[in-house]
Amino acid sequence: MPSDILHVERLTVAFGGLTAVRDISFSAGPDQLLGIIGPNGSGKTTLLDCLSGFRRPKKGSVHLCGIELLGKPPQEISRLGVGRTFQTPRLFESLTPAEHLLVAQRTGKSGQPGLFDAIPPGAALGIWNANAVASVVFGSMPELAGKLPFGQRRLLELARAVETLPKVLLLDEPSAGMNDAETEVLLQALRMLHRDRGITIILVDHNVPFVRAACDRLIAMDAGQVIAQGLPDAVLSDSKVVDVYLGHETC
Amino acid sequence: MHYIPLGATAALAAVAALIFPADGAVASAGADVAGLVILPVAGAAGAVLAGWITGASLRNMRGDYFAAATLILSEVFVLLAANLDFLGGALGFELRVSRESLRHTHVDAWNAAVLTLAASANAAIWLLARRLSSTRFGLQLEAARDNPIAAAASGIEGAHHQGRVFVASCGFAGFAGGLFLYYTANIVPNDFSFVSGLPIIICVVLGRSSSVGTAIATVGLYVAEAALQLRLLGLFGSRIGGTMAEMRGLFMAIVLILAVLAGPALHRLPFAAAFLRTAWKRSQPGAV
Repeated sequence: MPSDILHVERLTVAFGGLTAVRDISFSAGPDQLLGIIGPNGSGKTTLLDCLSGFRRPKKGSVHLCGIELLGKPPQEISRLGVGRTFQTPRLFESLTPAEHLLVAQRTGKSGQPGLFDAIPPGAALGIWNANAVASVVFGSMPELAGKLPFGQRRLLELARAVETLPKVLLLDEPSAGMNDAETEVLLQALRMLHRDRGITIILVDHNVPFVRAACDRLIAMDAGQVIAQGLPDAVLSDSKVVDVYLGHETC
Repeated sequence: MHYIPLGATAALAAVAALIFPADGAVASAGADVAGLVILPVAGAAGAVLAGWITGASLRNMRGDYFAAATLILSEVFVLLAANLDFLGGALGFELRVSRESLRHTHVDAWNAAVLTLAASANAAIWLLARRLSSTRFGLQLEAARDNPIAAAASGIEGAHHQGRVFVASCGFAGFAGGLFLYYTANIVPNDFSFVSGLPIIICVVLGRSSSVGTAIATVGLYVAEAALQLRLLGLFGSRIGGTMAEMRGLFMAIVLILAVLAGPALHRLPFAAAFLRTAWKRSQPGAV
């Protein structure tokens, strides 16, 4: 569809004889908050890896605003507008949170800094306050990212991804390891990015109440295939999804 | 790292041959002064070329593989230089300087000039590194070192940035190589072989990614080696002292192995020091 931001067509990923993702097709429109759920090993993270260029699929295509992403390196895909966070937060341990945002910013025509492109005084604080996630999440800037507690590490990773000015944001288990308060902050931040910035968000998570509250569309996967997709309530009550993922209540 | 001056030698030798004819003496003082400028610059240019070839041909390699491949390339450079007649072959390249040259007629002034240039070059590199560390490029370099995957996901061209720094570092090393040739008037390929590079590798392994750590490790190692060589460990004149002096290569190898084994613990030393500092402050009367 021409109005789609992201269009995935017949994507297949295989590791030797094991097909991790099989013939998956879906689209994500502007301002959409799409959730992907499924049991462990169903191919959710592999799918995100393909969309962000960290894994090369066997066949299929991925278009971002009409531009083919397959075959491009992750850094180029990021600059084209696909932001990404990881299952285990990946931070730059020797940098401060504000510096995380500085390094992710696009500068110059190519999006790459010049050799002596100096950072203006006060830039870090300005960027910090302007970042939709950072300004909400953190009241202060701790010394180094390596000293942050787990929940804040996740949120910092999200703030860094936002700083790359993505059209599409891929979040791999963003609420995993977070307490209730942090999950609530995350939910607020996602809604703000979605509503105010118009960023298309695709998130993978096992926290079903969080997914239900955050997403306006769900895709359920099992064994590398889509088994259901549609509105959250419809997908979460789908018999196949209940059988392979949610389970039946026994008493 | 140590192969870069050697890579530079090939380039600077061509220039050296023009102003310091191998079959004759340097007649004029002007040629001697010109050499002080031309040789380091030519060395830097040659090393940049060698570094660019190395970086371009090994750009898909990472980490240990890249390190191993560069060491192999360094040996290739050594073998090439040792077998090229116009570089003097295995005996090395020699600058023929006449008794009328500045280094003989004005020894003190000449020494001061060379040392000033060396110190100025060091200061310039230090300033450049400081300047780079406060730029976006410098921050991106640190980010790519900390976590290459996160850097790629943030749109950072980590490998490209590191390649640029690698080539620039080669230029600095080549500059040093040119200056070294000018000062010693003689360069022998085997002085830059893999074995001669081991002490430098030990310094880097011991110092890890910290510049200060590497500097401390370098000083410590060279002091230890000199102490062993001069039998200054309270064993002067004894048979054990003599054996230790002869076995100092073994000592260096043991240090390298221990550094690799204790690497993670060494990395945690600053954190341990910070912990002890905090504990000490809290133990002081009146501490909250």
